Amino acid sequence: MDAGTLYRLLSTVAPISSISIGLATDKLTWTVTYDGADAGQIAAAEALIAAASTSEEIGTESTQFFQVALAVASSASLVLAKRYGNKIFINGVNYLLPYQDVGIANTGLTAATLYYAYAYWTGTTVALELSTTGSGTSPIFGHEIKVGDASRTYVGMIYTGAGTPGTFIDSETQRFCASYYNRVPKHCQRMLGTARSTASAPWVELSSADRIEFITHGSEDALCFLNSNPALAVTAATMSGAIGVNGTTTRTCEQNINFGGAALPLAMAAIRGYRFDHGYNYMTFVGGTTASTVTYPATQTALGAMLRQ
Amino acid sequence: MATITPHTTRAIGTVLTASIYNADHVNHVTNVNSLFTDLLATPVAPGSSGFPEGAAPATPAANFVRLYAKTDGNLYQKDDAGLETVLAGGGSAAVEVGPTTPQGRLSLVTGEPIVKTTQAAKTSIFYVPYIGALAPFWDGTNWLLIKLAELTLPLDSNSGHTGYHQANKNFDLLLDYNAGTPRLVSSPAWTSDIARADALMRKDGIRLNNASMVVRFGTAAGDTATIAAQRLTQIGTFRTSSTNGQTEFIFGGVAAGGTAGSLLLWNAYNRVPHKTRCSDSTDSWTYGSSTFRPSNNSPAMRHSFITGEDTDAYLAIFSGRVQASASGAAFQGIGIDVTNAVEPGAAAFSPPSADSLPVATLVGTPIMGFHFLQAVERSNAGTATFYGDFTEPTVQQNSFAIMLWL
Repeated sequence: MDAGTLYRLLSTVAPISSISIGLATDKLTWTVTYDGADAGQIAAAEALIAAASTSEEIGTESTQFFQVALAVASSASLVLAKRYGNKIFINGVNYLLPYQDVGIANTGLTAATLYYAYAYWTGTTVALELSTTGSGTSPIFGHEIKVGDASRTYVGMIYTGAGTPGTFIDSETQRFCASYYNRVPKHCQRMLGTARSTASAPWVELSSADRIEFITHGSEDALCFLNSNPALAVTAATMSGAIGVNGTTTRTCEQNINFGGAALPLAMAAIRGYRFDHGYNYMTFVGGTTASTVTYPATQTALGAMLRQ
Repeated sequence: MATITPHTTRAIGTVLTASIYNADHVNHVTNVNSLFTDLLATPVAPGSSGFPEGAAPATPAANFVRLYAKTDGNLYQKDDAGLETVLAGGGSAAVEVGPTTPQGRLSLVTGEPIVKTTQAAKTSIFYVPYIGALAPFWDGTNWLLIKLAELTLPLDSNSGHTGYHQANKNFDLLLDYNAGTPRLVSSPAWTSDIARADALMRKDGIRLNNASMVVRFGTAAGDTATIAAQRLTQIGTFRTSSTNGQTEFIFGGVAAGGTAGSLLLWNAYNRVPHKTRCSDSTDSWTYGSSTFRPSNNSPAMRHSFITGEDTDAYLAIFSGRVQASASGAAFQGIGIDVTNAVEPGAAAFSPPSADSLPVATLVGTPIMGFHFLQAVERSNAGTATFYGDFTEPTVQQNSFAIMLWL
């Protein structure tokens, strides 16, 4: 018999003026104060509790709902939207979200900062909180909570864009909102803003203006790629291209083309799966050459990725 | 497994105590609030007396929460600090009355929630339990959570029938509670490839029909019903193939000119990634125009798909060997919904005289509806040679593949 059934049966021996329910600090003893009208009802209630003394699956009683997704509504507004339902589990209780999405403004946020988003119960409604304090696993319920504060359920993170206060951004070159629950695949893409040239040996960043920035939870792979048709001014050299991950030292999609013929462009393309770090990351086009100058054309050089947020 | 064990008997108004623990003594019922919520979520049995309305009781003892009804008809809780909180009336109350995500998936194979092999010329759509069998229905007042067996929608090819499944049209798929006998139904056809005829709305995070909708649930002339607004739960979208009353889920393949992919069934919930690939088994061909055209002038070097929302990204990759002419470069690329252009950044280049393997890559997030991604080619000047497999399919085969969530 589950607890819900027990309650329903208890209510049948009513009239009940009230029931008090408590759990002892040992987390093992459930105490029910039953204000029945007479001793017969108490006895009936006790009999029902005795009948409940059977082993059972916890089943749906332990269900936790996270029917939400963190999303950018505007540069000044972040929302916890209902997605595939309207409940969220906070500190042991499933709460209904209000009719409108739960929002929070960017008031007081610092630019270029990673914030963790938490849902909490104010006593009357569900609200959002942004904090630089990270999340951890609840030792009691197993879901993600704010470190040191079980009243806060982790729902995602954001990275603030430029401005005072910092702004919310979710674009194909800046994916700065990562929902923890109900993620969807998103694409990132950027082409070079203008043709970039370098005479440096590999590896140098062509331009910090051509980065793709994003945040991830570091728990699943993203697919990333590069395309370009670079050209060298001389022959008999090598031109290189790769996606630099948070700099030039770590690279993926690395390509090195031996340029033995005429000074003409060659196709360079690669796609890889990559596990990015938890938090803020950027991808940037890095390249170089063993001789002369290599040029990467603007309209034919693209970085991209598909990741889930 | 949990065990509830009674303790001692007490007098009126005092305490009955039970222990709840697991068979392995690892506690799972860990918080009074979760117990409280579970108990409260369970409706009182018909005919029972329930809570009589009255004045608020005294503050309970430490570590207790008291439940009671007041004369305003609402249920309240009072904690051991004396804080009273109303529990009735909706809004953000701590009660479990909202919906649960539909747990099945649409499929073209009975008993298989995920389509794993090509399904052509299919005349039925199935709604198959997947991560569970529950689906929510709004009855106008409450959410009903119903356990479903597999449901089937036979597709209707009769053009004389209202709401028949006309070729090359989009339809939404919805669940109709149908007075306790749930069924899978289809909406009227969309007005275009990217626009619904009948709007949907979102209630508590679940998409429902916004207005009264005439739906089809079978192939007989009279197998239609008019369903009131907000009584249908949308679970997906499909598109018919080029034949009335048929749809398909084709993963593409290798053939002369390629075998097109055609993924015409989209799930609103529990989507999983799918990939489809096509390749041209033709050894090689030439093209000497600077106007983009389908690869090998074959419209079958494409992948068609449908989505019911504009939320999910796709990834497309087209690679193949190219020998550009001495007088001009050649391109291979990817277009979306066109056969004579490429998306920006999705053209790969082979320089003049070069024998190369350009790879075009494209990511994007399409608007809802029907789309296709097309492999295309061109030569800037002179005649370029493009290769399918050049008699070596294991090492030289061209490939056009996409991945998306359906």
